[in-house]
Amino acid sequence: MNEYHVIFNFLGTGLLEVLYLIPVCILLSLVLGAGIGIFQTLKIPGIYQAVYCYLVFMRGVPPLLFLLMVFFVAGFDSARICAVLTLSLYHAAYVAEIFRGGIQALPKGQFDAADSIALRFHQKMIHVIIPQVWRTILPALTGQYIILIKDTALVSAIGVMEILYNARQAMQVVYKPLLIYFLVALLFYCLCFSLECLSSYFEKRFMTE
Amino acid sequence: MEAIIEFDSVTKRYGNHVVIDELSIPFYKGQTHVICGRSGAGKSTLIRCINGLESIEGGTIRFKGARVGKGNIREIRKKVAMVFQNFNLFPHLKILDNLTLGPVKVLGIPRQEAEADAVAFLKQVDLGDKVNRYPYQLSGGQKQRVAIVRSLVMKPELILFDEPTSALDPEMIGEVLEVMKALSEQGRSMIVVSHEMGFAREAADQVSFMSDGKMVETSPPDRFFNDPEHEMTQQFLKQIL
Repeated sequence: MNEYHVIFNFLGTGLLEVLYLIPVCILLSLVLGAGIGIFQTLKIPGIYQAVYCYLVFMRGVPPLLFLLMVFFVAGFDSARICAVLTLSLYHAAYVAEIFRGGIQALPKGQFDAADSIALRFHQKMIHVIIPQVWRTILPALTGQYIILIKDTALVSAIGVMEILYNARQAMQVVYKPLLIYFLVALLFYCLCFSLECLSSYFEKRFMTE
Repeated sequence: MEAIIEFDSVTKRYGNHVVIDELSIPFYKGQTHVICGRSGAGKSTLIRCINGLESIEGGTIRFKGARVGKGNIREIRKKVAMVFQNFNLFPHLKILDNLTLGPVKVLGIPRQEAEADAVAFLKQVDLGDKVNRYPYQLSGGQKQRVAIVRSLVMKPELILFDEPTSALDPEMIGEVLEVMKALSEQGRSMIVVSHEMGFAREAADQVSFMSDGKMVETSPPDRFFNDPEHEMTQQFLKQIL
């Protein structure tokens, strides 16, 4: 096996790992973040403050630190599950704030109109509020998920064999740092760029509707 | 005459500011009741209290004898429709979907039936060709007519109008008032907050003048416009007519 094979093998395996991590984390943080964001607009005493503390904590702590805290304090057996959970929880806090902001920025008349036709809370959210919020927060969400993609590089710190981890492994065998790091950068760039393309596709579709 | 809504010493405050002050008044079934008054008099707040868009701090509001409260507000909203100053159509839904959301999701009417119903009402207000348009493709007057249809498809027992023509360009006010007049002639129960004195004179059964959270004067339009009792009403009419 020549040295290029070695590099591509390592980076390819790393890429597969993040191709699993990214969608799972996006999905989890989206569901969790949307739920929390919607819930926070209800301002239920007690719960509101508790959730607020979670949000403030997440937003005030470096993601790497949070990752290490969860991994070493909670003592996960699987680094991968730990990575999914921490990244999802961490980004859900931001997604929650994006949703809350989006909901609160909707004209109050939309809530009045939905209430006046006697929609239940979940019907109001599903049929009236979320479809409108979705359009306005899409750019912000995209930005957040680009950060998530880049944050996957952090989980190499707890031994998840993602792209950066494998790059360092490859370097043990073939010492070509310039080439290897350049390829890693290219991979991350392509991942982020794909997400941006997906986002602008949705944005255009919303615009024509 | 049977009251559809009764206010009994209702009080509404925002902090220390009293918006509705111990107000008692009946609104009768089958009547069009126009409420006028200066801005800040509490007119909009008054009708928003009826379907629970605003809470009240004191007194009781009754809908056909039943006290309006948290427990039955959804049932009351099914029977009391509302038309807003800014239309508040759902911008992401086609006109048809705007009109079927309530009937299908809330009243449980089969979609096909709800759609047929909506189209029939749209034709009545000359908007039969807008079924598949989005709200942004309509003029203000057309939007407000759609909003009125959105209230009608709920088969309401009472319709609340919150300054339905105030956000419209002058040339579009007429088309909306025409629709409202037709509804009034059908004998629907309507409470209308409006500055349209022409409409009040022609279509109303009762006209009230509201000031500082109190009903200053309530009387049939003839007496209200030609022989108002209260000095404040006289002054208001002098300014506005």
